[in-house]
Amino acid sequence: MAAVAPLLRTRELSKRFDGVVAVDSVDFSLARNEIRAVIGPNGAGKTTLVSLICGRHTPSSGQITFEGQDITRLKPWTRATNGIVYTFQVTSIYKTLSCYENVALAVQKAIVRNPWSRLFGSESKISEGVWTALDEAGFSGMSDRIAGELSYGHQRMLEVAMTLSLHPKLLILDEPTQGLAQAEIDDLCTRVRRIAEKVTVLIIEHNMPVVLDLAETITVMDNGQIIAEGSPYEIENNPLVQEAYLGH
Amino acid sequence: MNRRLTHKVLLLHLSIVAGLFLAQFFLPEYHHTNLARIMVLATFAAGYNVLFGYTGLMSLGHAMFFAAGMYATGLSVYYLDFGALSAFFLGIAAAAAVAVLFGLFALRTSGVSFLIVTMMFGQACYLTILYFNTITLGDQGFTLSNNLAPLEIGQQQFAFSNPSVKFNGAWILFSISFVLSMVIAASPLGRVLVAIRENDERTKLLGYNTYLYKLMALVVSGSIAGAAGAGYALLFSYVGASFAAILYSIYPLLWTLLGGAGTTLGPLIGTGTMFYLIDIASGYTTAYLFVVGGSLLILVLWFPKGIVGSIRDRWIKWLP
Ligand SMILES: Nc1ncnc2c1ncn2[C@@H]1O[C@H](COP(=O)(O)OP(=O)(O)OP(=O)(O)O)[C@@H](O)[C@H]1O
Ligand SMILES: [Mg+2]
Repeated sequence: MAAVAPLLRTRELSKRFDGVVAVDSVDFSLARNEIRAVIGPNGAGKTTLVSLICGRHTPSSGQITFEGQDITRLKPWTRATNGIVYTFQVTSIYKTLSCYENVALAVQKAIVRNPWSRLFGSESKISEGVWTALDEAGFSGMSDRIAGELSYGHQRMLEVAMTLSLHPKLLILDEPTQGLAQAEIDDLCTRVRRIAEKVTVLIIEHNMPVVLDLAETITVMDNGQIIAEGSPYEIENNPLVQEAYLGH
Repeated sequence: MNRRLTHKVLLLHLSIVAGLFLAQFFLPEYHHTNLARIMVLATFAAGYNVLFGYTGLMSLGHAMFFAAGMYATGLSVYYLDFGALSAFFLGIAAAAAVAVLFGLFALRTSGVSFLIVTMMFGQACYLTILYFNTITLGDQGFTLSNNLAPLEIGQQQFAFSNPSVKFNGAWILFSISFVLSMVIAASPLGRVLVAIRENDERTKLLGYNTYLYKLMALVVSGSIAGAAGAGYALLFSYVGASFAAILYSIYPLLWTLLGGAGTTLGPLIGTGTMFYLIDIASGYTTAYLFVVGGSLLILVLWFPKGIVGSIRDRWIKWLP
């Protein structure tokens, strides 16, 4: 196992926001095709850590490698193009645009290669991909609906559908079940498990049943640091983890 | 609604182009001249709309692109005896070059800081033109009528003093910018520009180099504005620094807002409406700038989406 190169690795990765050390010298690695959960109390630095990985924030120090390549200085769009895709903790979609347009933006990015077609290519190839993606996500018949007028759960699923249309190698889900009804949570878990057959999934989650259902390995953060990592059983019985949660 | 290039959209745009062409045979002389001027200014607004309406970047310095086109064309005719066509293309090239240079600096900022940077660059251009007064003849302006040879195409000669040449020149200029706006709005490029306007961060994280797209939008926008400036110099035979002043950066914003930002038809409707508003108001008062300010106020308060934008929201959802 140890000989297999990880998909993603961070070395002494830190992020300071004037005064606050949000991520503190974190060494983190992910194997290809695993589902990893990251948990931790509010303000532990989970969102900041994945934001450093996808390029939303630039690190104060440290290094990030993806597929063996140093990506620390790469722009967020280059990382997305290379396969690191992020869904926001607070849903981020195009609220004034239709579901079709939302998904089309992802499909267009993923399938159109020729530089001229990227600017002025025809819609037919794109729309084929959009219809497929909308169907798969359960949005058939809703393509013309304005995204901002959808229920919160649907908006989240739309964002997931967009990110999946990019064919990511690493899919980062930041508290995807937050604000969803139980039936929607079950749907989402089924989808994530199906996605994970081909894609590495990094999921930040507060909902413990979801974490236990999906993840083989759990990473626990507190105060910007990783305080424990292991199987669900190991994590549950780790005194540091219990202290971190009780202490807050 | 996905606003793509359907037959309906195409038909609407071509009918408007055809309608404008036919108008010259029906309009009385006064309105004939006005419409020619409106079409050139609407081209300026159409360029502005690419950046502001579709990409969501508000500029208060677009007079610099209009003036770059106007002066590159005007000076090359005045001093170097350029022909109309080569002077025109030089005008576009100059505006494009200014847009690239400007974009490399200004696009590091966004929102209000972008607005301020555009204004500062615009003013700097204006003052530069005045500073080199001996060359640019900036404050008093100059005419091209003594230097500009008629345009020759095949055996035909087209003198720019002929009203019909003015009208059709303006018509060609506007039609190209109008059809170009339609193509951009319906293209994958237009989709990304709108995405940047609606949610820049999301667009970045979908994998789009938003900086590069904004630069493209700025260069297209500046080039169209420059083409309008170049066209204005040739067709109306006048070049002057007043076209580089802040008022000519505010106008395209107003025209676009009034007509409907982010609609292909907005710039024409807005420019035409404002032109006649001022025309009518100046018959009653010399303080016609009050009309400009007043309409801006009314717009922002009650019709933030402009004329065509409101029509699109309420009735014709497929308008691009
Ligand atoms: N953009 C920012 N500017 C300043 N401080 C920030 C910023 N983002 C996060 N922080 C701070 O960094 C720390 C870590 O925040 P982060 O959002 O990463 O935590 P989290 O583990 O995702 O929490 P939650 O479970 O509430 O989402 C917090 O103290 C937060 O206030
Ligand atoms: Mg968070």
